[in-house]
Amino acid sequence: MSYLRRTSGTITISSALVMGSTNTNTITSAVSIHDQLETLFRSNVQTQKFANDISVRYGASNIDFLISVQMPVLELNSVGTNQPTSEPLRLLPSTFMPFDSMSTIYQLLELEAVSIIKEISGVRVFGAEIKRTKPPYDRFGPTIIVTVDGDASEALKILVKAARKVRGKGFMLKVRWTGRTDVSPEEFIEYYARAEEEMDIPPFVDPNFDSVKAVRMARDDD
Amino acid sequence: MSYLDTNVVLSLIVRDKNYDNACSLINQAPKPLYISTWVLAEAVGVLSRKLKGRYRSEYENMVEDMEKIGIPLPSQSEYIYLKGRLVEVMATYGIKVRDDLMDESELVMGDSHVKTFWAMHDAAEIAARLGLKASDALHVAYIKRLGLSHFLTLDKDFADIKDLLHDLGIEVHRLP
Repeated sequence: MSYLRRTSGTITISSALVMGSTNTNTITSAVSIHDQLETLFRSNVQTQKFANDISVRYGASNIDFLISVQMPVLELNSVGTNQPTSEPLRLLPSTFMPFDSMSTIYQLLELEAVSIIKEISGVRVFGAEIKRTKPPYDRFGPTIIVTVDGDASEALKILVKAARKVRGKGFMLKVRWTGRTDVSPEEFIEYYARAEEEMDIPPFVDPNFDSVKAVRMARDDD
Repeated sequence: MSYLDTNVVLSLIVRDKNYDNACSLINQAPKPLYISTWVLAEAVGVLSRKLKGRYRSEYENMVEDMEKIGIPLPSQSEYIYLKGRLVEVMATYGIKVRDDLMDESELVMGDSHVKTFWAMHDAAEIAARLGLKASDALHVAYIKRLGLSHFLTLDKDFADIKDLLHDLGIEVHRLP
């Protein structure tokens, strides 16, 4: 986060740090974190971006524990962003860097993803990359892309097998491969769809969707 | 042997507010569990409308992923994707697609004798007899022809005619 600079001092926010899956409590907690941060930083447009970023990084999963997050004193400026600000925002000092903590959590998730792949397949893993998941799927956690040593068909079969074990772990799993792309586009889509289903990731997120009404409307339209 | 309405299958895929009821229905239902090709068509039809709707879908994420990897998008990609999801849900809950019967039927229209797929012929008769819409009647036609006796649905409209369906040898199971 190149637009954050630490100075000195402390401010403490007690909030829920969430990891895991997607229940109502999770979302409520993510929203709660977001709201608390917004209250703190609402005086500056760019701080909204910061609050958003924090809630995305902390949100998206099931509540496993509560911590007292000690926010660093921050001075927000335009370095590394497209939105220059005239006045940096000064906040209270801190002894804790939330990003360091988040980075540790991400590393743990990466390790877990790699461990699941290895456990079910014994295949050599070339590396793992963690990416922020685009909304509205960010509620399922970050996306971890694991590169396995093999062809696409092998990697995708491993993905489908691993998917059930990933369910509720607080991240979405994808694979890449070092070998040939030896699957047809149709096969790729089928593997992808099956893995998502096993991970418990719905095809779309619409809180107002009602299967009964949707089918009834389709029948009444006919 | 039970026949699942499209809304039950959809709820299992989308995990909407009816999901718990759909699971309870399935757990309590006489096994095995079947759907027809008509359920497949209806489910894919409803889901496909949502894939490119207001909210970003996982299908769109997949398409983006395919572009990054360099895998071309086939023309039937939506259908393959939705069928893949359906296949996995069916495997999870032990649901099978019942074969369509290949029987032909004859519809007498005045002087004309029209060859017809049995489902259309039966659905027309059932629609007239029970006052149902064609798409509802088609499900009832399938249940009858495929020899299934239990109908699992989340739709109140079918519960409202359960006595009429009982007379046809079909037991309606609905939650709540």
